[in-house]
Amino acid sequence: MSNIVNVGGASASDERPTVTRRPGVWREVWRDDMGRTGLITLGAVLFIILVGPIIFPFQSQSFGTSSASILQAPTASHWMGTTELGQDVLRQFLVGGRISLYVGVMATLIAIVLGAGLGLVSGYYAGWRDTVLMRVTDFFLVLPTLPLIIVLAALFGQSILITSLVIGLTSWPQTARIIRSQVLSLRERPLVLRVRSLGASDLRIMGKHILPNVAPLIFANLVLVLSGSILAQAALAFLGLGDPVQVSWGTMLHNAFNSGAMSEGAWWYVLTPGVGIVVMVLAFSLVGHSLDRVLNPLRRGGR
Amino acid sequence: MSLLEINDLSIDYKLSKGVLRAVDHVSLCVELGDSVGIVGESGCGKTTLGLAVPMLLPENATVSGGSIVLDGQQIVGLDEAEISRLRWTSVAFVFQGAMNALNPVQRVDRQILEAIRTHEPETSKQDAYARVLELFNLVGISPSRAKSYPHEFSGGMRQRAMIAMSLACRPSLLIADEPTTALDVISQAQILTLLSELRHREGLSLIMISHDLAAIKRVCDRIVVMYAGVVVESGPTEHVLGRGGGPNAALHPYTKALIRAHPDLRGERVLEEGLQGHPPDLSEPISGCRFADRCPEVMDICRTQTPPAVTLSPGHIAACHLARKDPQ
Repeated sequence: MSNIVNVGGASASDERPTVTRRPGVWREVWRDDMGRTGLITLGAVLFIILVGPIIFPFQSQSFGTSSASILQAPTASHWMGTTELGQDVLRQFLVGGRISLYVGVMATLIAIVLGAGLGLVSGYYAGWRDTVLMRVTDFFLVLPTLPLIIVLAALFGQSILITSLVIGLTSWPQTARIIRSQVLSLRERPLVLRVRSLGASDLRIMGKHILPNVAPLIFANLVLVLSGSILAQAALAFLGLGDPVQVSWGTMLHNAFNSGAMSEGAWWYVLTPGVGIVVMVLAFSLVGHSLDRVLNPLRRGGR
Repeated sequence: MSLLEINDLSIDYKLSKGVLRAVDHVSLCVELGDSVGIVGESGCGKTTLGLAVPMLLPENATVSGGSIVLDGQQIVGLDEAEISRLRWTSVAFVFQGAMNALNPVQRVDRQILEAIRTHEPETSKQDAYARVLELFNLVGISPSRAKSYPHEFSGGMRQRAMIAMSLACRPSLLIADEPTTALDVISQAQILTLLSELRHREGLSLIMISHDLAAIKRVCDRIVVMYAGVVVESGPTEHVLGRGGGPNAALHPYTKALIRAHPDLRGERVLEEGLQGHPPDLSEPISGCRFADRCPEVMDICRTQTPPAVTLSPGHIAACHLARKDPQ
């Protein structure tokens, strides 16, 4: 057999990350009509939210000075009209999108870390730990989420941090269930026995060998939880449980509703944040479903 | 002194309906440089016996008796830390089904590297990686393919990679569980050749678990036939299975049935009837010979008395009443 080649050079490049996603996942999402629509929409929404406020900075103090500037229809100086306080709707919309996204992302991170972590532990250890954790999960799963969020938000306050926490702490059970079921099947593979025979600790087996194998599932779930969280935040804010200082799209809807914008015919005030929420949630859902279709082994066959 | 001595080993599985004895008073001896094949049908205790040597038994399995002495050291009763020092360095296991034993999202070189680094933390990363490439060479995979993912390998290459990994810490004993299952015949032949080569070149001792008599015949010097948790016959492979398609000296009716179930390419064209029935339920006590219900040569004594192991010729042992000079 041939001599050893390239011994020295080979170890130089072995610092590359061990975990890489299956190549071509995004390309497949892009090839999917649903995925492409989602990606384009999402790109547009993120661009508007992230770049918009830099171009059109919003000052919450810039109230209108005359009654004429209140609930003004779109004009050249106020492209999307004004609020009941004479503020520019477009500028508030651009900044509000950031708050909606921020709460959505925070809540999702909490939910995914909790859900994936508990799912991993539950599925890996199985036995009594699994039983206990899954009964807890079932409990959270059957709780009517929105009323619970409302009660919790009313109890603990209305800052965006609290809102994120409350939403995050109520949206993890589904993820936990999905991850657990996958881990249950992974742990029976000879792979786990092999690595354990090496003397690897449970933590290492879970982190290095099981987690990377469920990573695609976690990722697809993350996007779906994200759209749910944005929607939950909007619902909370609309009900008046949002942070009154940090105006989000939900808060805008709340203000519009309370100031009688609906009956005044101030459609610009209602439509702007409303469409924003719908489009952002839709974009995340489309991408999430498409990712799920690409990554979920159960659904992959049917394409 | 033998490399591996298994004496009177019994292994029980705790099940919800009771206790199942998967391995029942089995004795087995592997000399240095020896290769032993264990055959038998599914569920006869082959894999359990194999897993017991590196103590990789499932949680519900316990060694209820006997001893395993590896390289002069008693393994039964060692704690986990002591066992894990022996694993991979003294005895390595090639797991059944290479695809499932490799991590699909980790590069193969990384996985072998992990095996070396976990066991020899003092080895530098460079040295360890050099050994990974050496191992790839050893099993006949070009080191340029080292940075591949398992799914980029063919079935045969994956099995080679598994063998490479098992050799990572230079074990003296290799236990290969069905190393050729699920491979095409060409890859099977290549893997078997590789195992034979490694054995001679690296001075490795080998236990090969298989239900493929042809594979065992090709690689192993000695054959051990297991049925329902007991060894029914063991002896030199050529002697028991017959030389070059010639007559065999197999005595136990079960061994004979196994050989008959495996038609010889060069032999007469006969369609043999398979062995009817199933192995007995091991969670119930069995009186007499375990094979009695399926045995074509069953006698009265088989139903009542457990057949003792009888030495027929040097190294050839069978546990059957037929082996006794004076049956009844």
